[in-house]
Amino acid sequence: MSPTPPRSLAGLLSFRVYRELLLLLGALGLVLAGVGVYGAGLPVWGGTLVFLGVVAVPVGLKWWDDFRCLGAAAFVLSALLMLQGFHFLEHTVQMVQYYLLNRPPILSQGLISSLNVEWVHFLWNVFVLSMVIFLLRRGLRGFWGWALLGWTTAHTLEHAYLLLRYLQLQAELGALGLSGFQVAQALPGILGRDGWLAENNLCTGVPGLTTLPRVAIHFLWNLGETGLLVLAAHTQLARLIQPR
Amino acid sequence: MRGFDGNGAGVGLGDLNNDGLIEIVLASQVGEASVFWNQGQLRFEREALPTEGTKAVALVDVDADGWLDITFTHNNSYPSYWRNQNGRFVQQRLEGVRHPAFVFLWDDLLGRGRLDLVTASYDPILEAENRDGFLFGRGAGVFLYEAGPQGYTEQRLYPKAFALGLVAFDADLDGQRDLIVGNDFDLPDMAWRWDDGTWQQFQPFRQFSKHPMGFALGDIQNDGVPELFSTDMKPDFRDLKTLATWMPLLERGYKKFRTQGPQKTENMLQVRQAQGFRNMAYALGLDATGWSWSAKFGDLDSDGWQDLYVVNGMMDIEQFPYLPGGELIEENRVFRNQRGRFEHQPDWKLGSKRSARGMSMADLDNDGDLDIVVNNLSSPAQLFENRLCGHPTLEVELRWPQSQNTRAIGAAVILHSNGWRQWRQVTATSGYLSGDAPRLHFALPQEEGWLEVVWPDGKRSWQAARAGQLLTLIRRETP
Repeated sequence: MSPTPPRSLAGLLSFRVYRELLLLLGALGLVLAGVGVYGAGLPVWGGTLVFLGVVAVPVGLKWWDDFRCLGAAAFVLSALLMLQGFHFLEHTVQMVQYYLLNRPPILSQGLISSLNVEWVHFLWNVFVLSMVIFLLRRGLRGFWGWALLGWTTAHTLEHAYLLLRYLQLQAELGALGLSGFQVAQALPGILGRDGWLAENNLCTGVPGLTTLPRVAIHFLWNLGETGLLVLAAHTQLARLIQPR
Repeated sequence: MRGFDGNGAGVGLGDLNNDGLIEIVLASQVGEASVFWNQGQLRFEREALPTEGTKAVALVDVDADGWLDITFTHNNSYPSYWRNQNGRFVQQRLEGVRHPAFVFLWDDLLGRGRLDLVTASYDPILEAENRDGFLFGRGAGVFLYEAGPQGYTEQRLYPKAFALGLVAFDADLDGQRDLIVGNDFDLPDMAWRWDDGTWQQFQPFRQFSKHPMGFALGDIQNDGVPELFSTDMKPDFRDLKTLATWMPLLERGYKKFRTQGPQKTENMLQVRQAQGFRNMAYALGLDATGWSWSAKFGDLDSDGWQDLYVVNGMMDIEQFPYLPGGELIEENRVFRNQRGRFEHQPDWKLGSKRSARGMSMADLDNDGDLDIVVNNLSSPAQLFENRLCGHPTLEVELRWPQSQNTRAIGAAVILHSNGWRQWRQVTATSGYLSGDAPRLHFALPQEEGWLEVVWPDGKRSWQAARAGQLLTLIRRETP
């Protein structure tokens, strides 16, 4: 059965015929993750991966339908909105851990903390940037589309700088015969506390730009990215859907 | 070098023979302490003092005879006192002072015209050296010894302390100085204020250093109001080579805590604002100077603004087994104060890398500028002669001969000149384990001004001042 072309983002993101399957497997995933974490002593990130693994089935089926029925651009947009939404949720959880639960940064790493490493951040941002460029080529233009491209590029540059610093630090650690430090994954970047701007006394008058901790800086990066993606998608949705 | 051996020792400055030249006393944790008699023109003659394992040092007139005496703390013992008899030293007991102390503070806290002594222990050393004896001994902690005719009367303010720093500072803005103890490790810093005839504990700052190694008082804005700087251990994130050497330590440190607290592992500068104190060290680029020990404010370039010098380094083969000799090499840092903003000033050539601990400043060659003495660990001490050019200067000493506090320790002197109010305080100790000379240094860009003296008991006096003087202000009244 071919779905009716969606007229809104809610329609695009709807699981349609897979809604019941998603609810069922989502509930099962939560139970399994809960048993894993509280019963079998799995870390929280392990439980999260169990949950994501179970719900991957209806998500995969939905995406296949999107691709088949609405075209590649709509599929990419749908997938990107969901993945970036989950990524933003991860950063929101970090903010809750840091500011509301008052945890130190090393314990404010979100739900899949084991993936909170510089390589993953960098590759994820390159992936998002590539998808945004793809969508722009397929019609996601207009003010919000170009703003999204600028924001995503800047965010990727920040992660490129972080990765470069991380690799340089790894080289210095290697020279000392040391390796495997979690804190090495948490260096300051261009923005925020102890970042490049702060160290060079640039933009010190802009509130937060040289003072916010890394957890808040990356929350804001992703808040901007998600917001611009939603706005761009909302305004240009019709141009991206190619019903077959 | 392992464990607490890396904590090193201090340096004390003061004119021990009343000849107008300031002597140097170096404490030593392994050998004898040394007195360096100033012969003028930066020539010194060494005299060994038969001491053992000295840590902090302060030169104060304990017996109020007009001669500065020498006092030390030790790793595992009560403070010792070397009475100055016309330039010869005789060891005597400080009657009633009987608890181990790592840091001490000599001050006239209540303005009674006498020198009280505050001590605080560093319990991890006592525990390591005394083992079971520490548990069953009289212990340590924070003590206030009030001076009296029969010796000192003790008051225990707190039963334990991991103290590396101790300072008297008006943290509750009531016009009276409070006592602040900077504790290492997880023991929070503590503060007491004189309230209703007793010392009451209170929480002075919203944020403070987690491991304060030392405190420095200064007036960075020339508004006549002091700021309080505390040193801690935070690497410079720009320098990845040094940052790499910190990684195991940072990893252990970050993993230790389950929640955030008001204490952070970085230098802090408490600046008075309308709503109380605010930490401005990060905003001024003073938060990360490495593994820092002694810090002092002083107008090194005699431009009228107090600069900041911080000395650094660490040695511990257990902490840094991957570094040659277990030594974390970090250079000392000097920051030039440019009208309230600070700029790292490597061209002043104070960036020594000899693992410094104690440090103090005074005009050792009587040429009107501040020289610096640094007590290094495992390498010779250093004297940095000041050759920076600046404005004309003025040096001030206070005398209160009718009191038991003959050098007016605790008095504040404010120079009104050029529209500025340069605040200084007569202190016996500051920084890390280090003693200050009771001689205050000011720059006088307009060659003259007015000195406002706030004596320890709160009485004020005024005096015209001209550049190029060593002014000794004497108060004849009895307390």
